[in-house]
Amino acid sequence: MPESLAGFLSIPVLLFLIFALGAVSTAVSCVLTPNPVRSALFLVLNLFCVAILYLLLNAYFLAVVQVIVYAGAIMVLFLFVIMLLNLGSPERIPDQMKWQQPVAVGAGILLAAMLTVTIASSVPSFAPATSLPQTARRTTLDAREPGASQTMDNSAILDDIARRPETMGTPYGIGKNLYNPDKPWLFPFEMVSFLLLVAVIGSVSLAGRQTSEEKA
Amino acid sequence: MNPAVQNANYGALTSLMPLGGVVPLTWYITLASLLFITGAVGVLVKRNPIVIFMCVELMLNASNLALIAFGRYLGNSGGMMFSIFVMAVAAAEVAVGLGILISIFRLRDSISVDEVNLMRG
Amino acid sequence: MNDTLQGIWAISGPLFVAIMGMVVLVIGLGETSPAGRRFLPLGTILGLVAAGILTLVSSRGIPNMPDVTPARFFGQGMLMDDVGGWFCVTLCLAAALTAGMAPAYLEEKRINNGEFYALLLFATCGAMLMALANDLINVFVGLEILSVSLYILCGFSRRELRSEEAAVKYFLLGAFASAFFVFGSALIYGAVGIANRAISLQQENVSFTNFDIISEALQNSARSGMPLMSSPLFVTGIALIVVGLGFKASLVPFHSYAPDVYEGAPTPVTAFMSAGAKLGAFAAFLRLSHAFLASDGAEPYRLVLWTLAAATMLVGNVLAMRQTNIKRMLACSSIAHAGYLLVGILASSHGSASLYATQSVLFYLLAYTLMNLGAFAVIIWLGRNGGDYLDIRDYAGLAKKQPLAALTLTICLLSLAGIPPTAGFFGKLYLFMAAIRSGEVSIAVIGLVISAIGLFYYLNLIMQMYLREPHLEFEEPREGGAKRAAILAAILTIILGVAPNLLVSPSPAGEMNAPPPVPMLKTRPGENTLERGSLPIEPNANR
Repeated sequence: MPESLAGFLSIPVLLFLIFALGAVSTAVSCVLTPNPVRSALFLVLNLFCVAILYLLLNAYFLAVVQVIVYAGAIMVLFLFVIMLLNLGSPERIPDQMKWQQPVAVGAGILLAAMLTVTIASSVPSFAPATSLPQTARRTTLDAREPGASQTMDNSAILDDIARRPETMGTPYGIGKNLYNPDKPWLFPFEMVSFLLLVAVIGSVSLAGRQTSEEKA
Repeated sequence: MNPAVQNANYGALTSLMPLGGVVPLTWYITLASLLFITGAVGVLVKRNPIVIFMCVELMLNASNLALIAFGRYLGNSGGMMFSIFVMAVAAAEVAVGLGILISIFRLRDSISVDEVNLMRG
Repeated sequence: MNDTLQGIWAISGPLFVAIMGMVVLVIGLGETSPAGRRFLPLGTILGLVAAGILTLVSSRGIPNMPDVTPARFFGQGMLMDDVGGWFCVTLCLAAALTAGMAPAYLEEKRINNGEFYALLLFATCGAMLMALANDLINVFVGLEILSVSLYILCGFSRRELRSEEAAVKYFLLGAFASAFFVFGSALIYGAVGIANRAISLQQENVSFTNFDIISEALQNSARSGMPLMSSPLFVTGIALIVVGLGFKASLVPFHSYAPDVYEGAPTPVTAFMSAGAKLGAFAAFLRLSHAFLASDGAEPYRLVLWTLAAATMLVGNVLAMRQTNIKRMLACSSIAHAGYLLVGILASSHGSASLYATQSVLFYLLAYTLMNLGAFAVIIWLGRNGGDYLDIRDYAGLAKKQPLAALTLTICLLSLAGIPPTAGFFGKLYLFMAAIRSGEVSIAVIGLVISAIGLFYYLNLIMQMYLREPHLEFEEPREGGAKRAAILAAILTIILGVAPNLLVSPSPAGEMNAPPPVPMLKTRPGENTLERGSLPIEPNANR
């Protein structure tokens, strides 16, 4: 059945298989390796594999954010603290704890099988959403002719970018959805600023030097 | 796009095979739940608080993958929006969590969850 | 723009609390003298009182536009109703009592700075956002603001190993629980989206994590023969969210951190945690239960709640009996109280008694906040420089040395035990009545039996105080703000216990068909915010 095989092994499917395998194997290695530094590096690889999957899902902006913020900044912070606190040595497992590890891993595999089967059986099969019908009749990217006047249609085209599932993940699409006061995401976005302020207060007051008053 | 495939029916085996060279949604969600469980097992197995926290990041990352995959296949922007917040929250948690770890390390030389047991009962 | 302004007015309470947090932070950084810092708690309390009044006013609608008030704001993501208003006012009360009892304690530990009060206010703001959220995304952001502030507050006493260890423990388990919450939200998002897609509803511009949309999808999918409640995806999602919130509310399989963290954290923080974190988590639980109101297949959800409630009540009380440290005892008793509250949540998921059950949960949360914070305030009040009296045996003969403190603590403990002239009695009465009305008789009976076990350890402490001979002098108690906070809490407990009708007018126990009690914040005519499933919802409105 060469036709169905060709249908099976298209480039997106191949890429998915490669990076899904990469994601699972790095995640498992991250958990199993006793060395914290290696754990952190495996986690970076895992985040990178998942970022590629985001690209396959047309989430371009998030893929870049994943690499720059997560794999770049946050994991560097992790490694920095591991080095600072000298936690890089492999962890010693106390004797009375030794039986716990295989039991937990076994239970984990059982749980994973159950959860995966449950979820996989309940997710129906359907193709990714494509351009919406009601936008098709309007001026869309497809309908745009090379010589057409661009100034007139620009805002309609840009609105269209934010609405189409394929282009929703571009920075423009994200911004258009996130900063729209009619949608529910502007408000939590503003509230996250309080969270970040709390985090700043926290890291200063917890990790900062003791004040002279405290020492007294 | 086969219109017959578009009808959602729970428990269909067809959802497990790729059609027309498209990765089925099921694969993404299966991958996400596998990563989530790996992270959860890691939290329970590991003793080093930093590694435990890395496993939590793994779980959050799996949730993001599920959100983005659902959003993409449903043509809804909510998934991506939610995952942006998850990332922001993860960043805030990392800042605070590592601050707490540095702070406790000042007071004692070893930080292992099992050794955090001045209090029992 | 007008919509945004309306939204800002509607949730002006939490926003004001957050702004006060920033103001207190800046003042605290500028004011270095210990004398000047005495004004920080005062400013905090005044800000919280103002925020409480703002909430009371704004929950009554937009001025000049009483009838066209939209109940949802910010793209349907937030709502302001009487339930949310009640939660906000209770949270303001909890935070104000905490700010009142904290200063002397913090000064001794030399951590009486602006950050403490700022974080307290931010945590309050986060919990208020949870209470007013109509979308899982806002619940999540509120939950994180609350939790991250509490992680820091737990470790606020930086020179004490116990405080730091409590912070590490709370942080790791809290982050773990948050991850469960997020994955659960993701699964619910997918399940609701798939259900909407199957009946070809519009996908665009809809947030599948919105409680209205979830409730609508539950009804629509049941009508179209593919009930969402039978979708494993949805059920798993709900289960994971219950796990995530259960950690915050310290329900039983997820309670193990509570005694350690409550003991290790600075006492004012423990007091606030025991009330604030629970208020936030139970607000989210209540919203979730209301989303199930209109659907039929909620039995699995109810079964889970039933089991959690029974286990939480039992384990909390049994653990509390074994404790010799008063902070740990109160921590375990707060686990047990989470179980009683869960009984009310369970009852509120039944359409027949939903309003009554919701009101009973609200009343109990207020009563619990008062009596629990009162008890913690007495611990701070009696403490002295260099250490608190934490062993239960230390309290022997307290009535002879410090009669007022003993009386205050006794009132709070009696209320916690649920003995008549106190708020706790009516709280428990309403909760169990609600359970009986909704048909959950078994859990009401179990709750009654278990709370009788609970009498043991509360009365044991009271007997210590009144019948034993003192062996400690209780010299130089801190008094100050803690004394005022404790006495205020005890007086309010008694007032609520003598005249619960001031806030809630319950129907006599015999009349099962009587109208349910009306909360202080009266529902506006034409808008029954509790039966949201029946509201005409226009999720696709694209203004």
